[in-house]
Amino acid sequence: MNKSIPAISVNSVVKHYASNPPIVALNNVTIEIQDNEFFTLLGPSGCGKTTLLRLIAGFEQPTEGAILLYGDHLEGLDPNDRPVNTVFQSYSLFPHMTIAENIGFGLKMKGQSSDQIALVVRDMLALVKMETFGNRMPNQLSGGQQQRIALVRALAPKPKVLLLDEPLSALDLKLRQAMRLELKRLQKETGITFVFVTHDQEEAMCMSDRVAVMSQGELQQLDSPQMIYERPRNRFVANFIGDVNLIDTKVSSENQNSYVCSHNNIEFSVNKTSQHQVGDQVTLAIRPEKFSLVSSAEGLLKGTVVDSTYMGTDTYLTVKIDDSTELEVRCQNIDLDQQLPTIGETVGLSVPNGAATLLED
Amino acid sequence: MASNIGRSSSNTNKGRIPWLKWWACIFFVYLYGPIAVLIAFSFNDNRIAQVWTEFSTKWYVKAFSNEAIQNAIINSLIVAAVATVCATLFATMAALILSKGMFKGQTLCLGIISLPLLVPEIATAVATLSFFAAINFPLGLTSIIVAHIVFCIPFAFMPIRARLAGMDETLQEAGRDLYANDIKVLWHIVLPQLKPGIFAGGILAFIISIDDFIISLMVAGAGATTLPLYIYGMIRLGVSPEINAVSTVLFLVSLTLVATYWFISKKNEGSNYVH
Amino acid sequence: MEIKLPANPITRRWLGLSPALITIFIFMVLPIALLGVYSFKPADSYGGVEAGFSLDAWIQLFFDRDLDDTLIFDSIYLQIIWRSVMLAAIGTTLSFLVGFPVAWYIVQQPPERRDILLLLVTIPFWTNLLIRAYSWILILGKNGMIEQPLLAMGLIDDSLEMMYGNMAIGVGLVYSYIPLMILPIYASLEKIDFGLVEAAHDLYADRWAVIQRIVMPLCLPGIIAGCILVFVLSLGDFISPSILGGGKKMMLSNLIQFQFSSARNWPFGGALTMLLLMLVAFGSYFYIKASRKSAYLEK
Repeated sequence: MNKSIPAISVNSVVKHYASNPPIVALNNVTIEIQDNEFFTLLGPSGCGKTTLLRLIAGFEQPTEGAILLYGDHLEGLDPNDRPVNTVFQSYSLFPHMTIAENIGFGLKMKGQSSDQIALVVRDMLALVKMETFGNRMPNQLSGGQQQRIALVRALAPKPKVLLLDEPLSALDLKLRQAMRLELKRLQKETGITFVFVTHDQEEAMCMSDRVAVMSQGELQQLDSPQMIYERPRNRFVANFIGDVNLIDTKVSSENQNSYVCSHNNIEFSVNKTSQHQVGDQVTLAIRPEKFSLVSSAEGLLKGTVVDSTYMGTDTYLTVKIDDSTELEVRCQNIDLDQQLPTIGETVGLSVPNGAATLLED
Repeated sequence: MASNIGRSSSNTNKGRIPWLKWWACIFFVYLYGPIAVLIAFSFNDNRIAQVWTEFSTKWYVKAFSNEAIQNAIINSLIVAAVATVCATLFATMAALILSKGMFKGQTLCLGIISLPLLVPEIATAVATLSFFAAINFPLGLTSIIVAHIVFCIPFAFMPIRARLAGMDETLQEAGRDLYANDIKVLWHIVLPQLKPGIFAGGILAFIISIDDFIISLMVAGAGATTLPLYIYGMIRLGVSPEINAVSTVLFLVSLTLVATYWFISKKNEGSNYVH
Repeated sequence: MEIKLPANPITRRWLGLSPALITIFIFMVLPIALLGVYSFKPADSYGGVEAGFSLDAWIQLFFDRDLDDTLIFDSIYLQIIWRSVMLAAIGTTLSFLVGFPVAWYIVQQPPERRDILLLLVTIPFWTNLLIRAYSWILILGKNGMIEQPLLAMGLIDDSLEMMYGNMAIGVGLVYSYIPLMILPIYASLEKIDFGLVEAAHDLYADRWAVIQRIVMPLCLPGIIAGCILVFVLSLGDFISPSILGGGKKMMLSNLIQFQFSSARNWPFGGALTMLLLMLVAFGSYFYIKASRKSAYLEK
């Protein structure tokens, strides 16, 4: 397939629901999803991610804007005329059909012969290592097994894009972790573009090629998982993914590639990821694990430990650097003899270059 | 005070009252006693219905070799079969529409469909009679069938609608997603799952039709006697062992159908969802 | 050839609804309206009505015409209507008094037993009313199951004449419709959280206090629904009075049927039917109100 044409283009899509007051589910969202990509829509419930998925699948129509599949307009096409398939949150296996009939349903509807269907069904069962389950009924399967069948049922008709609507949310933690790997493997093996909807940041981080973070019907940031974590664009993204310290600062000077931002005479040098004027109030984001503890004489920041919580892999320290600012600091617990500062102790914190990110808002 | 404490500890079991059990026993005897007596006397050899002599099935033989009773049974079966098929079909179509989304006039439609449940049978009966007379509709089996379809519709409708309400809507979305158009979704996904509901609705319609008396009484012409009409005619002549025999059979038919209906609905509850 | 459903949702909607709606409309709504019209027409003595307008049917409800055509107040029809209402009310009260403890008993059983008992309550409702009424002749009638032993023991020496009276009709009404009293009461009792009962016991309420102050108020919507159902159905009942009342003690239904058969006075029958429908509509209105209230309580 032509690499230059995106698998899915979402162009300025708006979706309103008629109610009083009207609900804006999507507000001018533009996204391009590339061919053969594992793409994740991430956001809290009600952010519009599922609406977007349903628009792509054709269960609902956009109020404004257009959605293109490999360059072709999808407008006016019913779900059954769109070469995309969905893995539903509740699996939605047809309870009155066997597993084999479930998997073969899409192909049967497309008018393929039963011989062809049987071959595909066999391959699909093999793909998820459930060869012997063809004659069972859905209610005889465990949650994880139903999940796998829902997945290959949607893959069987070889869709151009596979849509996954929080497919792992009903599984327990262990199973969920195993399924993440399995999904990633299936995506690589089949070469099909996956659009995955989730509210679980871990899921988004570990599987995706790119992540679109959404909130209140708007796209907040679209980037690789790494960039989403390291260079969040705004407060919402910074807070939604991982933990973060937000520090109020003022831009005090500007270089070619960086700003100097100051907070109570402490100066941070940060990369220019967004445009600001000298004198603007800006927010810096620093992840808790970026700090390193140094003696109170050294270090960019100096403060008092006010709280310390042992969490297993890490110890979380709360360091008060001035009356209005407390920072969360994580120290990895390397060995038992490690001397960590106790409550009331004064410590110094150093911040590596590039650890702080300037937020747009 | 001590007595209070003692009392509250003695009725921990949901406020059980000792005579309640006996009350319920007496109630069920009251409910089934008369029918039991009826069934027992249908096997009584004696001509005088209420004096027991010895066991015999001769009244069954006599009743069912009576040509008039045979005709009445055939009429009843024809009416019930046609009315059930039509009413169940109409009810299924209506339920499929009414379970989908909201629209203006939906409540009105539901109201019209449940109207036959609210109007007393005697009112329906005389109104239908006047109407048939006004349009010169000949009274006979056809007029009975038409009248039966009307009041069977809501009975068929109820279980179908209940079943539809319990159906997972995303299954239909999954079907459409997998390239099934509307009619294929209906045929391959909705109807197979609706089958128990349709079957239950059909059973209710059949029971109601086969048991109906008042409406049939008013709209039946000469020669279109259904079984309840025939039984009514016999009762007016007095108690007889033949009535007991025919009534027992009609009772057992209803009983079988209700029990079937009940088991279907119980099974439905169990297999409604995939876990 | 591929069959397709109409694409337009509105066409589809009416196509799906029309068979049921049209059937009920033509053969139920129209006929009732027609009967309403008939009640304002002069009677044709061969059955049916004549052209024109007349209030005779409605006047006949209250008055009789004297020989010299003056109207005199005549309560014979009002008596029948009054008897119908009274019998329905007594039947309803008895059904409640008998049915409530039964519903209360069923609710306390373990689930499987509950189901069986409910089935047992339901079965009679789905069996032929005619047969059920008839079976009471075997019990109450001359030489029936009650009289026979009493006669044999010499406690009585003549028939007790239990049949063909108000009592027999009342027994028939209760017997016919008591399932419709028990089922709604059961349904609302079942929803009661028994923790409340235990909490009341814990707070020193005895059994009667619990039933009176906790259970009854919470299942009031079910009680109202059951009472109205039984009342409305009893009011329109035809079989009990004609089988167990022997046709001598008429109720509204028998009077209506009589106008359309032997009496051949369709307008008067129409007026009586309208009266019955009004009474039923009145009852249904309260029924709907009660069920709304119960829906509200569940929230």
